[in-house]
Amino acid sequence: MDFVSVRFVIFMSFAILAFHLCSKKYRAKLIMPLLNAFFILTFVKHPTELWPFALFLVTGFWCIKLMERFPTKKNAALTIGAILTLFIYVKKYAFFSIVPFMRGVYLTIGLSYILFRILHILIDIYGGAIKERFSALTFFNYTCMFLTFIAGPIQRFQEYQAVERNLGEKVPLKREDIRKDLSRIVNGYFKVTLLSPVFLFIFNEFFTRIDSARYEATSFILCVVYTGACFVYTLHLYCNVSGYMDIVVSLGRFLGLQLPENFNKPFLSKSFLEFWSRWHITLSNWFKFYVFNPIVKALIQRRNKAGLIPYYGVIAFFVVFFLVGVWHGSSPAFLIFGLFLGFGMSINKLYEVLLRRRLGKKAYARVCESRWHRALGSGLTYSYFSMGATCIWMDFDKLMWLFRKIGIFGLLGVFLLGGLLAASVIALFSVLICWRDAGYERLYFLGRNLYFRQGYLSLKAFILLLFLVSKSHSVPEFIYKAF
Amino acid sequence: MDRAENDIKKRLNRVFRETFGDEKLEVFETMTAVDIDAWDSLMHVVLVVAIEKEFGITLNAAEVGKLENVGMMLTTIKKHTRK
Repeated sequence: MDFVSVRFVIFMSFAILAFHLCSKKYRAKLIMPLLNAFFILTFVKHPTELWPFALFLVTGFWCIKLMERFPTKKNAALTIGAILTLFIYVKKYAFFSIVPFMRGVYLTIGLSYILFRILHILIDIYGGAIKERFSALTFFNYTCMFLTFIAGPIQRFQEYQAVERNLGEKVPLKREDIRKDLSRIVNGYFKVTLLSPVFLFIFNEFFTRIDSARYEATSFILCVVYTGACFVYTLHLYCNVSGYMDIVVSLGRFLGLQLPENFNKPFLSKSFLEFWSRWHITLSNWFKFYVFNPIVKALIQRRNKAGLIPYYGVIAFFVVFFLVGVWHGSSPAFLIFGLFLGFGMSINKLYEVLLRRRLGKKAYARVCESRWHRALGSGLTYSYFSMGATCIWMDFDKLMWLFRKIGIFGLLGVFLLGGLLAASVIALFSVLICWRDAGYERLYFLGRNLYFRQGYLSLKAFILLLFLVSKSHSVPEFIYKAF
Repeated sequence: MDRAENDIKKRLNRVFRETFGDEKLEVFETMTAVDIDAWDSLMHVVLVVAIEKEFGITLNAAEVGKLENVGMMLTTIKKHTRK
C-alpha cells in the first residue's frame, strides 16, 4: 500500500478510529497485529509471495527464543550468522550469485529494517540489555509495525516497549498539537508529492545529458553536468525521505505512538562527521551502538595508546560504511558507495585531529566556528554525500565509465564545484530563513491568528490535492523502500 | 548523596580528567559531549573503557551507546557495582 494513495487514507482513518474506539487492552493484542498483517498483505498479489518473508520472520523469532534460553557466545554467533545468511539469500545479493537463489516474485519490502530489529534483539539479549521474554505477538508488532514497516525509523526494542505500553495514550487532543501534526503531515506530503518530483524532473534532464555524453561531450562539460545531477538528486532524495518521515512520525502521534526522528536539518552540518548524526539518525545510531563502538572498544582493549585512537576510528568508519553500503543494495555499485563514505569519514576525522594538533584546542574551536569554515564545511559535506549517492541512480558499468572519462581530477573538480555551489545555496537559504523569521516577528499578529494559520494550512492542502488529482502528475516511488 | 555515591563521583571525575587531559575538569550530572570539546564518538569509547577499568565492570553495547551524560554514567556504574 502506497502512502500516497486513497487506499492508505482510508486505511489510516480506520486505524485511528479503531485505536480510539477500542479499549486499551485490545490495542496491542488485537488491533495492532490486524492492522500490521493487513498492511503487509496489500503488498502481495498471491499468498505464495509471502513465504520467504514468513520464513525470515519465523527464523528470527526462533533465533530469539534460542538466545532467551541459552544466551551463550556460541549461540549469539550462530543465530546472528543464520539470520544474516538467510537475509543475503532472500535478498539475492549479487556477490553470492554462485548460490542458486529462489526464483519468482516474492515480498522483500521491509526486510532490511526487520533485519536490524532482529539483530539488535539478539545482541542485546546476549549482552544482558534485554531480559524480557518475547511473545510471538510482541515480536510481530515490533518488527512489522505498519507505520515503520517500509523504511523505518529503526526504533530500538527498549524504546518500543514503552511505546507499546502506552499505545493509544498521549494522543494529541489539544488543538495546538493537532494543528502542528496536521501541518507536518501536509508538509510531508508536499515534499513527497510536489517538491521531490520537481527535483526528479530536473535531475532527469541532467541524467539524459550524462547518458548522451557517452559519445560526444568533453570531460569538462561532463563534470559540470554531473555536478548538477548530483546536486539536484540529493534534493530529490531529501524531500522524498524526509517527507515520508514527516508523515510517519506525525501519523504515529495520532495513534499515540512516539516514533524517533530520522532527520535533523542534515544540510546544516558543518562536517561530514556531523552529517551522520543528522541524516538517517536511527540507522546511524544503530551502527554506532552495535558496530562502531564494539570495534573501537575491542581495538582500545587490545592496545590503549592515545596516538592510535584516531586510526582505530578510521578502521571502524571503514567497516561501518562498508556495511552501510552493502545494506543499501546488493549490486557492486553499493560496495563503492560504502567505501567512498568510509573514506570521507576517515579523511574528515584525520583532518580534525591534525588541525586540532597544529592549532591547539582554542584556536581550533575558533576556526571551526568561523563563518567561512562553517559554510565551506556544509557545502563540501553536501557535495561529498551527493557524489556518494550516485550509486543509487547509476549502475556499476556506467559508474566505471564515468570515473574513467573524468578521472581523479575530474572527480575532485566535481567535489569542489559542488561544494561551492552547495555552500552558496545553503548560505542563501540561511539568509532567507533569517528574513522569514524577522518577517514573522513583524507580522506576529498573523502568526498567532488561528484563522490565518488554518487558512495557510488549507491552502497548502488544496494545492496538494490539485496536483494529486491531476492525471499528468506522477509521484515518484519512495526511495528507501528499495533498500 | 551518600558516601558510596560520593566516592563513585570522585573516581569518575578522576577518570574524566585523565581521559581528556584536563586537571581542572569538574563533572556534573547533566554534563554531555556538548560541554567538552574533545568528547566525540571516539573519545566516548575511550572514556567507557577507562570507566570499565576503574570500576572493574563490563558494559554491554546498549549501555555504552546510551551513556549520554554523566548522570547516566553514575546510574549505570551504581547498578553494576551493587551486583
